[in-house]
Amino acid sequence: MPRRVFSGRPVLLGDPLVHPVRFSVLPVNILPMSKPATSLRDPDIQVHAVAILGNPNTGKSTLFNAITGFRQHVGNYPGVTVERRIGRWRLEDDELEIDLVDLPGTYSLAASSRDEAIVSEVLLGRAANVPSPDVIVVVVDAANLARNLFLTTQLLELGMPVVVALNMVDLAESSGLHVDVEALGSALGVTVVPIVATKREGIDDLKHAILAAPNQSRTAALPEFPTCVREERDGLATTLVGVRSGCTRQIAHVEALQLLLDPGGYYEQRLVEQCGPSIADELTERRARMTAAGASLAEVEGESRYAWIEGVMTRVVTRTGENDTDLSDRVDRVLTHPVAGLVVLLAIMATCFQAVYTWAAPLMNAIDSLFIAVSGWVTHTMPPGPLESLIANGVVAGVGGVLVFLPQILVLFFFIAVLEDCGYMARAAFLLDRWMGMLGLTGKSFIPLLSSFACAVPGIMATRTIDNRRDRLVTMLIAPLMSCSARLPVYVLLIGAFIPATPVLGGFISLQAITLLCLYFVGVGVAIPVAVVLKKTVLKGETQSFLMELPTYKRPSPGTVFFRVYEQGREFCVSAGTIIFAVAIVIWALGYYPHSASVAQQHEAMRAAAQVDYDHAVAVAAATFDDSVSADQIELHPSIASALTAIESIEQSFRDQVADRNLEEDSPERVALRREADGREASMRSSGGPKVVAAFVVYDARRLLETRLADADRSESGTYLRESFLGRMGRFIEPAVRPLGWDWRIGTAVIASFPAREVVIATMGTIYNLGADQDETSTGLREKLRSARHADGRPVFNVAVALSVMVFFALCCQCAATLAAMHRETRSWRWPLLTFTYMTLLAYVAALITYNVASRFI
Amino acid sequence: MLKTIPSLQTGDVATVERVSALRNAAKRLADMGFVRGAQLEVVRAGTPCIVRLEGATVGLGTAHQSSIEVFVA
Repeated sequence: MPRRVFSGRPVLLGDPLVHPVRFSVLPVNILPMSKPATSLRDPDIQVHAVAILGNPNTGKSTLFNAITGFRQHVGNYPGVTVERRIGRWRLEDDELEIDLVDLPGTYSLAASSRDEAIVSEVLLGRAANVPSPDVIVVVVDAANLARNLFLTTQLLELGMPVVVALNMVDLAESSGLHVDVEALGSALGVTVVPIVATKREGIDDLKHAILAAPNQSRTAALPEFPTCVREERDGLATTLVGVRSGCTRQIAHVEALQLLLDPGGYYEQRLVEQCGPSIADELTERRARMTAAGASLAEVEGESRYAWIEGVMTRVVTRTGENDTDLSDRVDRVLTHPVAGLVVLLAIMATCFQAVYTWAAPLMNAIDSLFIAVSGWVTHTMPPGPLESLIANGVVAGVGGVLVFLPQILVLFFFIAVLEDCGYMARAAFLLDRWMGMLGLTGKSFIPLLSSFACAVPGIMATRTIDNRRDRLVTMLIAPLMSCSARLPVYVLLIGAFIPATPVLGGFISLQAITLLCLYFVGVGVAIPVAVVLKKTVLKGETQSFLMELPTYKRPSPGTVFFRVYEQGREFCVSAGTIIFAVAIVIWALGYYPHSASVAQQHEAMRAAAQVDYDHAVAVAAATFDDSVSADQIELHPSIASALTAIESIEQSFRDQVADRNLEEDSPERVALRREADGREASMRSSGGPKVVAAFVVYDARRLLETRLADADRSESGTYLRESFLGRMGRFIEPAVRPLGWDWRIGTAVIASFPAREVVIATMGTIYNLGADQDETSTGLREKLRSARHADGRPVFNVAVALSVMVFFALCCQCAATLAAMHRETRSWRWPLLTFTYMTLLAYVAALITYNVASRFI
Repeated sequence: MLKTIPSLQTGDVATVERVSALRNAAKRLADMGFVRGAQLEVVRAGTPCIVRLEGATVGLGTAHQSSIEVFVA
């Protein structure tokens, strides 16, 4: 890919020893026209885009945050799904803004995972929507210099301006390693800037070095490869320059080397896609010649580079003291111990889950009340009709129902970010590798699965670090089986309504808590055989071997943790704002239309009838009066009004007491209170005159009117739903859900909860004629579920039905966001469809078994 | 004596002789520094094991372990 400038320096093509400044190799006619003309004239080359890369755990992101602060945004690379972070950085005294691209950590340009492939894409200038970098900043861990220099030498060969940010110099010094910055700079032929990214030391020097980099010429001896490798590489590079327009000789060299050394790898796949399979024959021939000449394809690059690095190390690094890896080692003696380590891991996970549920609760309640308030406000201020219903029940309720889970996601990601940044996550993956191995996975699948307990969406995104495609897919496919926080409201509602709070295990834990725990285990228990089956069938392949660096423990950097949490929160909100928003509208429309006018007329008639009955009762009461009061004035008559106030105060005090003591419908205390109120009213009636009796008639008539109007409203919304497309679908599938013990209303609620599981609560609220403003603690919905009856009078719900519904929700994939994330990550609808199908089938069968077993034994 | 990593004990120090495995796994190991002449120390034996190589601590699963041939002094 062409870049900006011509230095006019002669280029020594194909000589691996001398590293010329690039840019001069391009013929003028392939320069892209869009490049600013100034950069061609100006001898001071301007920097527009800078790529930051380096080995994993070298503090790239910390450096990125130190330079850009909030001026960054995160997205995905189009088509590919690796996180892309671009930040802007404005110079103190300059108008110039520079794009800073933070690339995933990698050990080598040889790409073996998605994350690593994207690094090559960007560097070779092939990633769409990402500015081609003018300068590469390679972040190097001073305490781990040799391994970091491997990637550095590969980057130097690209011929782009490079600046080395020598990070963590403080840690290196304290562990007895001194790096001679000058000597390292002259060995590499580039500027080396010592920095401590966590303390923001050396950042300004680094910025200046970046700006100066394109104007620096450099000549440095780079690693030398055996003759046979060089010959084949140069030959292949000639082919590449021929087939690719705008490919510099140096980039072609770098690519040719990786093509030759990694048979069937990412570079070869790309090239074959581009040039057809004939090019593969050339590769095979060249590789055969190299092997015949005695070069080991896998080892030759490592051997050549590390031999060169060894030479640099002796000149550059001096050991000033004893190697101080003691502390990390001592900690690891416990944390990576097969038994003690697991105990600690379980304790950390328990703390994490406890926090997810307790810390987030107040915020979740606040968000929930906010959305209920907004929805109520919309209902009250807007004229009733489709638009009001769309906003209140579709948009606000749908998006609000999902945003409620934001606090939990933030808390979970806070923990994950802290554990990751301090270096613990690699140990967790290490410890669990043996256990994950039983499922045919490696320890790397652990972190995504853990995240999925809060929400499968970030869990699916976290699978990006898994380099094996099959392992990544298996992990993605079982991630939605982990019981996410969206299932919790369903569990809370149904357990609260149908499972008695009987203490078990000597009062240590209640039956309700045990049920909840079992529901969590159902998911995990099912995920194990599913993973095994997937690994044996659709995603057949050997169990991958674990290979992961265990970074030295360090204190987590607040900035990195903050940005990580912020990004996840943002991504979640964006998905709630787009996909879930859209699906919520569709479900609302299915539940609202056809909204036939005859339903409204029928219920209008019911309301009118109620009004007629009320008027009649009041007229009868008025007729008993000697001082002739008209029926519509009777409530204003002084003695009637005072009697009404007295009755109302008795009722009000009854309601207050019930509310204060939080009494359930059938509780003896409540029955006693009711009897007392009835007694007071009876004595009032018997001691008062005919006016009091008339007041009771009016009062009862008014109560009856209110009840009948409310009934008409509920029946109206219930009828609308039953007659809606959604309701018809529910009744259509009723034969299918009846074996699970469900009626059409549960079936409808399940269909409606396709966008997100938690929607089922709002839908059940509507379906059981209560209006949609229900949450899981609402005693009203709980009562209504308990008292719901089939046409023949049997209760709809019992323990077996509740268990069957909960087991269904534990295993089903009613979550549009999960399916969309899976589609984004795999670039295909095949995997989301497979996931939805297998999970729904599993959920159905498990619910069927649960219902039949439970109704026999409970 | 030439051995592979699974036969080493915790605390053993060895020199890498060669890496032989499925090609891309071997290349990855070589790129990470498991090349002829590199010194490694077994920090925790087992599956997976932990080795220290040039100051870096690396966890290795079974296949990777048995693909690294080492020379024990």
